[in-house]
Amino acid sequence: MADTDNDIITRILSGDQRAYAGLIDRHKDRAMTLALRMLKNRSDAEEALQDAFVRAFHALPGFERKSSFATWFYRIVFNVCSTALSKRVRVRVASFDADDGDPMKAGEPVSTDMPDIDCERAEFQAIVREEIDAMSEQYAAILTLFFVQDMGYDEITAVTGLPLGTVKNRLFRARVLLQRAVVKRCGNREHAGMEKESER
Amino acid sequence: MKHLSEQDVFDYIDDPSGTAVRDAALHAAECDACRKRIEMHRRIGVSAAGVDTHVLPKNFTARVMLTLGAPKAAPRLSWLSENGANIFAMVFVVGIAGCAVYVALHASPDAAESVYARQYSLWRDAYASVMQVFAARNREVFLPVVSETKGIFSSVFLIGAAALVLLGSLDKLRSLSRVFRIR
Repeated sequence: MADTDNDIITRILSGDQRAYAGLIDRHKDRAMTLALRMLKNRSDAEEALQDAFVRAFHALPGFERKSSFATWFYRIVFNVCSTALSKRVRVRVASFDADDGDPMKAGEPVSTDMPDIDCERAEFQAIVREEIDAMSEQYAAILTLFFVQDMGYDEITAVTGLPLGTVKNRLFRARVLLQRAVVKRCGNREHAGMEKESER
Repeated sequence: MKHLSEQDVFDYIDDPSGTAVRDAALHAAECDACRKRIEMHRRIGVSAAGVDTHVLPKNFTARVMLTLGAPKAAPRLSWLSENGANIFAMVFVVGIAGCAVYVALHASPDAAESVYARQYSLWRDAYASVMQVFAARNREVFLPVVSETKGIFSSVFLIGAAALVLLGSLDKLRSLSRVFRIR
């Protein structure tokens, strides 16, 4: 049976530092997904992730195991990426903590005009990922924590340090925006396909 | 007919067994438009859950470990170079012990010129040479034992030594298995 994160941490703290490689291998891909979606740049994300792993290693003796290692570690990744973002020269109109004033409301009925989507699974997945990558980091990060890390509201709150209401609101907006973008792309693609068919 | 709100749809997808979504489920059963929306969000969720593997370079873990200054996983050649002497010693000692035991059990006093006896002499001389190097201070103790006990006591001694070397090697092998498991 594979060691749990806690087993590995116990080994590390008892002197087997090489065991940390197991933790890295276990979490690096998901953490990289988060870093990449926040920083939008592969080398920056890699650097941030390396920094996060080094920080986590040195902070491990202070890890009280009140939450899972994943939650604790993703908070470090999130903070490192947020710091990297804030250091960028590019001035952002909206910071990560600021709401963007989108008038969407959670209970508001939306357009039910949903086209039939008949994308191949791989294509559809590629479109979804591209659209997440194209979103602002505040939405991309929360979507990644929710879908990729499979975190609930409370865990996302713990990772981002945002209030629960903000997390709920932001996740709602992100999902609606993502759905609109995907439908738009798939719809356009289908429309283009239909035009090609009619030209024949 | 009033359609489901987006929040209703999300609640239904995230926790379909929840009691709060019972009305949404009933509505979705009758409303084609809302059923499509639910299906679309579900597909998006599944697609968004994919992890971007193979994005990181293969040596990423090793790089982080290097940054930490943690002991690196030793490459195989390095392990061989470190433990080659141990392995040689183990083979050497086991060979002497085996030969000594065989001669002690099977070689008759008249078989001094037999092949086995000659091999025994060969191994005994080699063993004596090693003892001269590694146990020069105790030469007076070890050499008479080798030459006078016809291999019986030295066999016991050598088997014990072989067991110690073997245990040491097993420990090394355990370390090696940890190294490979980490990789």
